[in-house]
Amino acid sequence: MEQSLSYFIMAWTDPYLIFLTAAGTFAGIYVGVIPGLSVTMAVSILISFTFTWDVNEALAVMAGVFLGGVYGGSRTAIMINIPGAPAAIAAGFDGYPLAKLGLAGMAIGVSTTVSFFGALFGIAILAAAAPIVSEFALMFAPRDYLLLAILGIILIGALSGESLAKGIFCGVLGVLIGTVGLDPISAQPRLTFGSMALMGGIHYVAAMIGFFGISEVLVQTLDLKKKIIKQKVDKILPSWSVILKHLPLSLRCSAIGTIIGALPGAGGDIAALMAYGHAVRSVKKPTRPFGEGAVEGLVAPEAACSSAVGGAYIPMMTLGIPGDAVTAVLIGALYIHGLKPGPMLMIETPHLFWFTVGNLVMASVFLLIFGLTGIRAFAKMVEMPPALLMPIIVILSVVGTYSIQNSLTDVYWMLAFGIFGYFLKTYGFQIGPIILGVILGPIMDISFRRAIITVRGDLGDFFLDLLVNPISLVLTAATVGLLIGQTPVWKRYAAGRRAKKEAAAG
Amino acid sequence: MHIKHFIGAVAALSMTVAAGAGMAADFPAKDLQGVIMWGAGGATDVVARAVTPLAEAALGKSIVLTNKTGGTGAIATTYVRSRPSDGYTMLYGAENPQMYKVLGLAEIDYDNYYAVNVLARGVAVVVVNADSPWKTFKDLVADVQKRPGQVKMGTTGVGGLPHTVGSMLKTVIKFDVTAVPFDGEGPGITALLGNHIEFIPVGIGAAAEHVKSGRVRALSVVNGESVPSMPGVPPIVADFPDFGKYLPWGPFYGVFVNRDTPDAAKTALTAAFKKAADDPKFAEMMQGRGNVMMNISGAEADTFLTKWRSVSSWILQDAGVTKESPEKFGIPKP
Amino acid sequence: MRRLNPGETAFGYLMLAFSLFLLYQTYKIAGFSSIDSGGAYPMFAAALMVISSVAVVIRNRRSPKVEAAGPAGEWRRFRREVAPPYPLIGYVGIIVLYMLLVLPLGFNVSSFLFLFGSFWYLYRKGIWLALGLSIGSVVSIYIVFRLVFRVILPEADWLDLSLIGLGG
Repeated sequence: MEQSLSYFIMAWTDPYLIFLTAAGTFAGIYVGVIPGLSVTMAVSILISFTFTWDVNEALAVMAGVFLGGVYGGSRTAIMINIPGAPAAIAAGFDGYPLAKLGLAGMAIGVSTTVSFFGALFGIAILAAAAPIVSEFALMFAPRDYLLLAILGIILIGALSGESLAKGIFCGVLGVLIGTVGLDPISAQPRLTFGSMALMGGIHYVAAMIGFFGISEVLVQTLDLKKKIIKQKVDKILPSWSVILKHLPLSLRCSAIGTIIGALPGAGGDIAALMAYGHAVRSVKKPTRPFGEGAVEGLVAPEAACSSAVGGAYIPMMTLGIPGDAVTAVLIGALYIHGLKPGPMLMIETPHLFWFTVGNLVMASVFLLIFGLTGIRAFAKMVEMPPALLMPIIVILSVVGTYSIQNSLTDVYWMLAFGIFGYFLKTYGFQIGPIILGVILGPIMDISFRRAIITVRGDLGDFFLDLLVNPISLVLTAATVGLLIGQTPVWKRYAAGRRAKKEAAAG
Repeated sequence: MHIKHFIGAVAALSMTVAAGAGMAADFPAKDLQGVIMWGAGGATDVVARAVTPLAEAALGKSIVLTNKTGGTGAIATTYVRSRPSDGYTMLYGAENPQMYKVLGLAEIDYDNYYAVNVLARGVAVVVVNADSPWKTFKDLVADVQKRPGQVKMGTTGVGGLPHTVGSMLKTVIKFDVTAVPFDGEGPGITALLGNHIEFIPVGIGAAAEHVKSGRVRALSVVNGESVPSMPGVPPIVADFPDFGKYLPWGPFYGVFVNRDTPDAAKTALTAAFKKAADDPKFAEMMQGRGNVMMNISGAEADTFLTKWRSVSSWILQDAGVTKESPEKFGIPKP
Repeated sequence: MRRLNPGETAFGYLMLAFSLFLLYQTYKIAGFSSIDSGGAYPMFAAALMVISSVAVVIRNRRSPKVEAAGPAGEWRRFRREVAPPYPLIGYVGIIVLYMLLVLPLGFNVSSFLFLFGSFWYLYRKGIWLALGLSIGSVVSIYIVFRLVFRVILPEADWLDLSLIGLGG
């Protein structure tokens, strides 16, 4: 224990390591802010850059970039409705409406505080229960991933706007965009129309940047002379009462985020979407209706995606299995530095675990500091004339999309999605479900087929497994419950009961 | 601006226009680009990012690495082929292109490339969960034959290592299993740990640490002899000598440039990567991941690549998953 | 129910046609071979898309119409409210032109032209301001993406900056 503590504070006593963590976190925030600069990319570049460094120094700067990057994405999502990173998509659902009300400063303040809280929560679980959580994560079978994805996709119901049919249309459109390319199981091309360039599929970040970024640019271009909303930046730090009010929700969403982060193959983006769905269903009286600037709709995804960072480290540190795309690159970095990530890592190099925990805590503190100090300048960004801001967003969208996999094809798709997205928005379709479909669609596809193959195509066995296995049973029950809860019959029944209760009470 | 300086710049510019031979003499004159065919964090990516700083030191210029994924690397392979053959764009590739023709993914393979260095090859190992009743590879095979189609094997999709090893086994013995595909060897091992599959052939690198921790048991290495990174694990030929005709076989990692690149550039790159691969730190990392160092280039690498292609193409053909017969491309039977 | 936007009815039918096309394309992947084939899942998605677009079309038919004099009037309103020539169509044109120029001119030159053009077209505060802002933006993007993040941006082959020490 004493020894663990000494490893823990190792990062805190070396000024150079403190500097590296701070620099990493600061850089990470801006990597997150700019759409198309991803944390995965930044950490990959850092591998070559830190090749000759000491492993602790390399890990310190990478941890900072990771945490800062996951947090930074929500900035632009709140300010201009363009998520800087996939994990920030859900933050824009209610964050952007808040900015339209002139409350961008408050929104970023809340997002920063909650992210700090969520990050600490995830790290605490990493420190206290990493082995238990990773064993739990291993128990998730393909069918459970399928159920999780279905649970997530049900959120379409809440994101549909004026019509459920339009929401479903957009959701399956996203799902179909996600199937383009070589089928990962049979290696046969799907919806590629014979084009070599489409074999690799359409990267979901290209779809995200197009549907959010370019379509928003076109909407704003229509109305260049509209009055710019003055942002209130005097009260940025949320008061204790606000923090306390949202504490239970933050806790629940941090727990969701940590677990999803710890699941191999699901990261902060999915965690944030699931947490948003949880908030929509569990918060009965939000500050404003969801989608119109509910603070709860911002708290939930921000807590979840930050806690997913600690979660993603769990299988990485205990089993050498990546919890998400960034930890996959981190594992590579460990190899290159001569370490052997795997179940023996904690036994052979125990200091590494506690050093990482201490380091992540420090990065969280820097996240709070840098997050809260830069808000004013950021809030002013929204006050820039759109005629100047929009072309810059176009350029960033192009270079950002290009840099995902150095493909101009992705850029052309991004533009096409942007123009298409403009018309969809004009005619009352929502963008959210498309992105939900693009992210969750491939998981549903492959998990479903994997689950069916596992039972050798026997649908009877497939359904039996859903009821026999404890994890599957819980997820099945939740899915069925939510699906029933969304039917009009049930909604009418529930509304009637509530009315009766209120009549009895009043 | 100094006139001399200006003239220098003009001269340099006119040299680019002239290009070709004049430029290769002092290769490299500018930074290079390395295109990695697999995503960040994958085995190919890790190898590329480990060898590059060493090669950079030998070349005296930097190599800018980019991941260009998709179509099991076919996108990157086609892209590098389409770049000028000046040696400034390199492909960091794995074994996959050697199966593109028969799988119908692309018209080209490493025949269109010059092997700057085939750095190392991996060795496959068949692993089961430690809870499994199978103690030896023979136990596993006996059970598979007793319950045809019932035992679940993890794979990484058509043409991947587990699938190919499974297909090889099928040609040697009766071996009918249910193949459950995962996104890669890591996720496959994860599924094995969670008991969602019963066994999986993977590269030693993906399994070594799990074997060492005792949670996973190695039954057999897919090699002609035992390997140092898997002490005490018998080679597959000990149980099934017929398997020997396919060996040595395994994934490999290499650096390639277009075949029609000027010789001066080829020589400079070959020398630099040779030096990089000789670095003990790199070799140690590669061997630690269960790879066998090769560090070969040119004609020697071609022999290896050609044999590899005929083994794998015909295995896929016999397994019935090819789009085109290897015969169509003049790929001889092994 | 809100009043339909100009062009909404046509857009609904267009989406129905689009989803039928996708249904046919996904059917072609594997037909009705098996439930875990590569084509079954996309086909299911496309079928759902057809159903939902039928629902959208029906809903559009029930919604209150734009009070316009036939298709000509609706087209006029579409041109005025949804896709006006200035700034929208013009701006989409500029963006498309930009994308087409990235390959022949390289990223830096085409981005400069695009930024300069759009600042001038949209902001209309004088040519020198537009020039200064666009040069500043391209330089900072070059520094962040090319130099720090080492993204190889498309470069024009005839304009090889690396040899005079600018790129590479």
